[in-house]
Amino acid sequence: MSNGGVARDGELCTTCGTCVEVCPSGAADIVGRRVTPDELIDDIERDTPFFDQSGGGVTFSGGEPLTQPEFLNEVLDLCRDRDIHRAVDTCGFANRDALRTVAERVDLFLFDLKFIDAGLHQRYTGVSNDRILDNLVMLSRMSKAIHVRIPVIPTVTDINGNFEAIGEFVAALPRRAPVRLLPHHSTAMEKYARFDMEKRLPDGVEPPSRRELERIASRLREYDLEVTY
Amino acid sequence: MNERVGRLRRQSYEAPVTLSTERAEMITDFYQDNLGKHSVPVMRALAFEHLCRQKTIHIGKDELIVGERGPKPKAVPTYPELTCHSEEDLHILNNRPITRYAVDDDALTAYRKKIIPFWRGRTMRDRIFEGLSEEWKAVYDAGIFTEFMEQRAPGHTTLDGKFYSKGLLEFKKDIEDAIERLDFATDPEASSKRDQLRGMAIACDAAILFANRHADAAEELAVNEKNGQRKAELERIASNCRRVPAHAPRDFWEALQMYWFMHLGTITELNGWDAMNPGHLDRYFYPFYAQDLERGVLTRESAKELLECFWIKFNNHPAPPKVGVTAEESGTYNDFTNINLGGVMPDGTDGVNELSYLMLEVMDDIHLLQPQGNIQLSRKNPDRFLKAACRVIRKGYGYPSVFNADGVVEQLVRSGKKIEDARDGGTSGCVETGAFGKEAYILTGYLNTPKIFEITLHNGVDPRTGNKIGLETGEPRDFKTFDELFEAFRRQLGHFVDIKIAGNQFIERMYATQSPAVFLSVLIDDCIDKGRDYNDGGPRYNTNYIQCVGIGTITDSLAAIRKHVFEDGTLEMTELLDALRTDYEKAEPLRLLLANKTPRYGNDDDYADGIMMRVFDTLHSAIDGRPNTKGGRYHIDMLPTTCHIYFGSVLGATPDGRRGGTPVSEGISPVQGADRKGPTAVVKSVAKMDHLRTGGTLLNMKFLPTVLDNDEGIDKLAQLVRTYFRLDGHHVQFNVVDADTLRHAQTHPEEHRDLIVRVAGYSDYFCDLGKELQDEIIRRTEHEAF
Repeated sequence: MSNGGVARDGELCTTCGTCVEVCPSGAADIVGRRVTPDELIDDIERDTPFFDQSGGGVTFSGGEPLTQPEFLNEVLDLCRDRDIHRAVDTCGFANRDALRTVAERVDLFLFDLKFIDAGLHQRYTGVSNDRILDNLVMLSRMSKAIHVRIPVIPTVTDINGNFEAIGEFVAALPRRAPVRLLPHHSTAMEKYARFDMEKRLPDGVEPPSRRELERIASRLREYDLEVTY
Repeated sequence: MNERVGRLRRQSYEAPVTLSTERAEMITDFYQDNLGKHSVPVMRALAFEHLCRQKTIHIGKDELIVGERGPKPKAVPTYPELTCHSEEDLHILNNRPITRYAVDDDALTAYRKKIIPFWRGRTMRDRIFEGLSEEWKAVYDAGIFTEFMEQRAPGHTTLDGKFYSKGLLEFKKDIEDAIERLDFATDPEASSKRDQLRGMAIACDAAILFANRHADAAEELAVNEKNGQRKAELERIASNCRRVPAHAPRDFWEALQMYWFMHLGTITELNGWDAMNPGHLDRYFYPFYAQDLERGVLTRESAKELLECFWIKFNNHPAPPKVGVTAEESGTYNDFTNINLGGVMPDGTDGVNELSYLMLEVMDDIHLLQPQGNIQLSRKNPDRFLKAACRVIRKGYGYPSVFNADGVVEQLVRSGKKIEDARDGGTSGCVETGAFGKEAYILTGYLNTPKIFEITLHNGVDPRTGNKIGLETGEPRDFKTFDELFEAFRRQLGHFVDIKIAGNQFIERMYATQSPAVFLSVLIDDCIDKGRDYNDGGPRYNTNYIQCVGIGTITDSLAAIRKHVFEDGTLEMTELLDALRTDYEKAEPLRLLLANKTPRYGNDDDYADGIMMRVFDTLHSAIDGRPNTKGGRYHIDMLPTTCHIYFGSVLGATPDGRRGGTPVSEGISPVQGADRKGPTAVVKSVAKMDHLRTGGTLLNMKFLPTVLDNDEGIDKLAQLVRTYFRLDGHHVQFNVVDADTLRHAQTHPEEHRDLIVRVAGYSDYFCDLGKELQDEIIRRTEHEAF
């Protein structure tokens, strides 16, 4: 405790959770918790009336759910037993065999596609996109329902030729897939600060306007794609 | 809206609210001259006739629907025979910064010289307080409950469609036939029935006289009118007022004027709560609308203009000025007229028609304080109807509110209505359920459930005053189990409910015998057949409601004690009571612990929600089914209006971490900020209450207009509502959040934890966002303000 209140040294934190337990005001919180498949399905089932009413279901998102394929498969099976619609939101960077086993249990993929150019993908995400593109083709061959989701980040993904390349690629998939544009937003800026992380996005990147989104959407529609944002 | 409507709307919006003594002076004159000459119902009827004959007739420039309760728009009359304001009351009304009623010197003089000297000691309010027990008064002063009828007449009533096919002359004929049928040889009540029926007949004539005076005035204006179009309008207004309410309306315009005269009649005769509610206007007016369109004498546009002129009339009539506690529990100009749209027809078929949509457009166009509107959403109604309503909701007027029409029918059938009457019913005022045109469903007062729990924790003593007003149900430190504590609360509750109902019975008889509503009785089945007044069991159904407040606060308080004292054993009862007594002054960590480390209502957590269900069942058993004096029964409502603020002000610190004096939870909503799992969890939690065993519950949800800025948002809102109603939820309303609220949330996040805002393509808890993003959203909200 210092003059300005409680000081915290993130370096020393072992996420033991004691501070969360004892803090009466709830100032400290651990984001995320350990759950078993049974605990998770209990939580999911609580929303059954909403699923039944809206025709919706559960979306496994992240992080990246495919980093835990065994756990994911267990929960997906529990959902199937309860007739709950299952979607998986993935960046596509996953082990091919693991993805195949998951795909057998999934009704819908939300599949992020950032770049077709491997170099650019490497530059912004740290990995090549070979595996991602292969995985997308594989899922499409398996006739899975897929929504391809394209993050629209001015000066990063919104650069000459990128959306055209994506349009061409998606149009050539064995099974038609609708495209959803995900406009960049600035929420993460706060998170960088909270976790003492350095902000890596170039300055001056602002959320795209509706007009810009419409311009991109109509360019993609030239590839005979269904595009929404 | 067109130019005429724009002018009328602006005039209504800008007109200052003034207190008019016209009615008070006339009623005083009348009683001075006639006291003791007639039976009570005939006296009331003749007083009504006197007002209809004497009061100022106002026909505004541009108006198409005519008639005002006061001498001009927003000039509000008083009802000294019920409540006679003191000079001090009038000064307060004139000088208070909010909900002011301007009182000029002439009005003060009239009160000082004429009105107060005659009525002091003779008013219903004076006589009611004189007749109530000392015990009742002590409990009332402690803020355990409020009393609706201490200054306004029983109300919350809704008219049905009967007078669109039947004029007052035909009603009068029915009344005369009923008098004819009276058998003095065998019916011991024949004499009082005759008095009542005579009064009702006089009231019919009075209302017709009132309309004819409008016809005369309109004809006179027409003679001098230079503008040809306006001249024709005035002539038409005159012909409408000659036709209705004496006879049934023949077209759309006459039908609107018909309702308006009925409305004025009922709110002139007495000051019943919630003014008067028109019921299912889309259904009642639709045959006239369809017929006039077919004949080519009306277009959708001209119908809309008439409806908008009609809508504005409600806003010209602020609530009669209240005094004392009642002003605190309901501090607003709003008189709670609430128009129902949609629902099901008496035969069970879909009740939505083209007028339902047109009236939603009218609400959107006019959006004044009054009237409020709601949709009665049945599973039989199309999604198009719900979505049309959602598009108005997103504008943030707070209405239309949304009701579960099928649930309302089930509630009414459970409480003994025929299914046709139930389907023809709906909701009025805030959320209360009733069979329109056939039921007196009277709100009798709010019940401060957390306060009753506080008194349980003090073994019958009110810690605020030190007065012993409850039972000795045991010292809490001696309770070995949670069940013992709960049982003490149950007994304490029963004690206060008994006192409340005993007082109600007396007040009910006072209204039945001293203040009959003879004009209203003409319009409510079966008052004519029974020869009994609306206030005396004349209606087909006679329900009393007690409205329970603070379910969130008491649930979380019980949960905190159960967990920390009885289960975990980490807190001594005495330590807790000390902390409550000192308003957590030296126990901030304990306060935070109780607030943050206790399962709380509103998160779909069965631990807390289970306690809510148990409290609900206890309230229900204490109240539901008890008889009133009119052959009807008590049921419970779960709504607060603004009473949760008053109730909080008389309540010390509570075991849920709430500080003394701050508001208790409102409606059936969780405690402000206690719900952290989003709107679906709130819906799940509040639906665990058995809404079908109530006569109405109230759920508020907050949102920023941007959450609904596209069709997807509208779809989601619609699905949320439909799901809530699948779970038998009764009502939900959506409040827009403005920039000031967001700023307050920045400095007081603990009060706004549940505030959800649209961030980008998604929504998040406002308090979980960083300052920079919060500021951005505040700027955006201000930009969107209207």
